[in-house]
Amino acid sequence: MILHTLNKAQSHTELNQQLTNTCSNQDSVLLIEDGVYQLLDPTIFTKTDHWSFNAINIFVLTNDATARGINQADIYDVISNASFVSYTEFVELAASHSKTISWY
Amino acid sequence: MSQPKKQKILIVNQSAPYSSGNAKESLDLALAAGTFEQDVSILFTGDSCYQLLATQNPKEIDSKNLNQMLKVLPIYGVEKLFVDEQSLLNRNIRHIDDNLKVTKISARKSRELYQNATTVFRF
Repeated sequence: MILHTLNKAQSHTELNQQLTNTCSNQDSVLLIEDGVYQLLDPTIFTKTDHWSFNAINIFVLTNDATARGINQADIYDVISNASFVSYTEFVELAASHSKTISWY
Repeated sequence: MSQPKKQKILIVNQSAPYSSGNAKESLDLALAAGTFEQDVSILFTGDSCYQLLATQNPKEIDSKNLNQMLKVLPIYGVEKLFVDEQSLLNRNIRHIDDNLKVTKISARKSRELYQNATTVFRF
């Protein structure tokens, strides 16, 4: 039960690969900062070599997404298992997982 | 005294807007060069394509809206904005802000931009 935070777009291929290799099927990934840009591209979420294939939950920090022009309504259909969270919920997630790992 | 020769300045962006100061600094250079009536072109490649998304609301993260600042560039005589088509495709960016007059170009055309410039700055 690890919470992985990822703050880079998919152009950072090596970082994304490292997360994919590390993430177990009990872990959650929280997209923050530039990580939210990954939601624009639904095709990567269908690939077995993308971290989303392993992660049990995908969370998105709402403030970072809204700031960058990514709206919940636009992406809901494609990546249906992504939940948008507030800063307060971010803290709750950090507390409810056994540890947090930052991918940056 | 003769006028100094106009410089053909190419400003190449490759950074996303809010995670570093690169986007802001490139804008500052573009505005300064534009004010001094230089021949300025701006090329967006890689993650800088994310600068062109519409409906950004960076107040959420206490940042300035760079997208709004891009819109004032023509006032400063900076009118040549280009974006690398392949970079948009790689990121599945289908809609860029209609209010920005950005021309989509091929890799061949961006190579020409690099070749024809007197000075190239990358951010």
